Amino acid sequence: MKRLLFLSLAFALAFLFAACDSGNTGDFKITLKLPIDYEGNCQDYNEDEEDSEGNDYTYCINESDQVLLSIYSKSEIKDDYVYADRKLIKVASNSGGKEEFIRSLKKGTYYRFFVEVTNKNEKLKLTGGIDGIYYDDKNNYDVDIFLSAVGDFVRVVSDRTNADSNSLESYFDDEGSKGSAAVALKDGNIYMAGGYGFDEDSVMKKAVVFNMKGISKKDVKNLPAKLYDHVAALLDDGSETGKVVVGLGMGEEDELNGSVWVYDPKSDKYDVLALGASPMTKAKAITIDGSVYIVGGCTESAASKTVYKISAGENGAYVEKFAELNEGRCNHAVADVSIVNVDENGVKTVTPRLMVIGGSTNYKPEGKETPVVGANFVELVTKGASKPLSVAARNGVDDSKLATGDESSAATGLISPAAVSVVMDDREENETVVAVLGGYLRSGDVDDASWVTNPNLFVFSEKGENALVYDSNSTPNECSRPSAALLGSEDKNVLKYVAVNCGTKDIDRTSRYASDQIVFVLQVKRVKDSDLGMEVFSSSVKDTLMNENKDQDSSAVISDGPVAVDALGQVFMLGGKYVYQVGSYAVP
Amino acid sequence: MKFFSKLLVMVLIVSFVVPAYSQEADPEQEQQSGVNLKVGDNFYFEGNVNDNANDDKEESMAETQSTPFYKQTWFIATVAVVVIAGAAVGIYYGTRTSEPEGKVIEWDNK
Repeated sequence: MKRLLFLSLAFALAFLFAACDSGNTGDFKITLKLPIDYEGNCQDYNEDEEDSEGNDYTYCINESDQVLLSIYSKSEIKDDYVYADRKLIKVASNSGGKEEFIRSLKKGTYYRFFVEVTNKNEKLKLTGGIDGIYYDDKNNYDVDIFLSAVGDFVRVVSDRTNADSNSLESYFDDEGSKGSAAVALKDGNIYMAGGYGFDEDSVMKKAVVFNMKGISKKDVKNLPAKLYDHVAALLDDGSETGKVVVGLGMGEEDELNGSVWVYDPKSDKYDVLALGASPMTKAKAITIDGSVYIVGGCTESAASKTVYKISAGENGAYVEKFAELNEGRCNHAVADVSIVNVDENGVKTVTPRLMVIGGSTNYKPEGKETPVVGANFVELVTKGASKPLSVAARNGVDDSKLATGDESSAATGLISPAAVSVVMDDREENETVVAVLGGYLRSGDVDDASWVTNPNLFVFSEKGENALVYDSNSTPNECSRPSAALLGSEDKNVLKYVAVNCGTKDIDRTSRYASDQIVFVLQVKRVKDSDLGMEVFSSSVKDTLMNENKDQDSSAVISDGPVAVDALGQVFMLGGKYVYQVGSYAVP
Repeated sequence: MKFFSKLLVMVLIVSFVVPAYSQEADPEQEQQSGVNLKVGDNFYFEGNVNDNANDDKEESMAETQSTPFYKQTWFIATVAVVVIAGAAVGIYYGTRTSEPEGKVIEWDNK
């Protein structure tokens, strides 16, 4: 009898343990996080008032909206994501909602989720996504997706009901920074390091990773040295996160740094990379096809001509000299104009090409550097070679005197601009153009020069093998040292978008109170020029919901800050107290 | 893995508890343990028990051999009720539908 009793007890215990261990793993919860509702419109939603009363419900998910969740997957980290499924949810309640989005997810698979919210008129208003989620049904998942206004910027918050304490904050404070660097990792998280903090009145060693799946910040290992105006770019080594190539720049006493490191987010460790470069600053780094290219940089007495290529090998990162510029420079812009071919088997080959634009041949006195002008104003760099490209407006004359001066004034050059490559795919044949914005220009003669912020937005397009033409438009927002990145947009769309972290118009970077942080989006498109009787490219500032392109609830300022664009085409703006996100139109 | 570790703990607990009782229930061992008792139908005293120190010893041993509390029905019943009740509560919470369950997407417009 007693044996029977104890056997029953043992069975009951075994059942208890089994019950506790099964049935509640493999859950996957996606929580959509909304931007700050500045006007408090979301709680007072009135379908009839939309548009007619001027109320804007962009920051809300209201009744009559639709939420579309697209799911992409891949089995191996090295593969490209492929579309897997989608779920369209009609929003039934003004207060919120909850839906099952899929019956099952496949274990041992990487997932990407992208959310689009449209209003009753099918206007896309909010998007957000997350990448690199490895699903294993032995765990439960709780993933946040922050939704940003499409083609507009919002502050990233984990809970908008108490935005002050729930905003994603960097290590800078209200007075902002200059010269920090940031990179979007392959898993969608954002790495940011260094910079000069005006509140701290010091060059920072700090580094953080913003976890975009949980909308949180994690302090990671400091840079090996205090740095600002350094370079940082993603090195794809086949891992889930990739690695970050970071280095060069200046230290606390403006001493130049020649070291470059490879940061591994997984081990939180920096390994020295033997670049073999002289200590230098204001170089540029760009990632093309998984490799990092470091272009130029200024030493105490000269400007580097070298283009280094850093690739991931079986035994770690290795460096090779990719090409030599015709003219050394720093404070320049670099755009990826590589040629991409896909064969009938879907195998992609990338022929790297870098367009190097403007810059200066020295780095001080800051704001009055000597601009690169003349034949080498723009160079096209390919493996082992660099050739100058002539630049001119559509009429064949360099009207803006970017490269070529005349009797009345010297060439202006263009120092510290941003350049973003844009593929116009609305025609049968794709055309790659480069949107160039911001920076500052030398005005007047060489002997009696002043420097002014660039008042124009340019679009450079190739004309033949050795020439560029540019179209220009004036801009309401002038930026002396902007950073910019391409925003994800729909294929074949005639409109393309570039997100700009403008910073301040002031060329002087010593001001502690430079300017409110300005962020905007450029719209690049083809337009018919009636005067010229031909099609040209246009670049213009897109309307924003943010008054004067500033965060209304923040007094934080910035001198200049970096951008980071993830694989979903979402752009993150950094360098100030808060992190801002610009919502993409579509997954690239 | 978690399940197996739990199962291992459970088996260890059961293997610790069950043999303690099964040993007591073994008639052979019961007989062995009776050798030192000398108390029963085949044992009787002669003379005044108070006169014999050895008899005191036998009586004392007999007293210590009275049924321990953990063999008492009331104790076993109490433990059984507690364990079964605990198991029932555990099963209830262990198998109860947790929130969220499945693959859900949710938002709050507040």
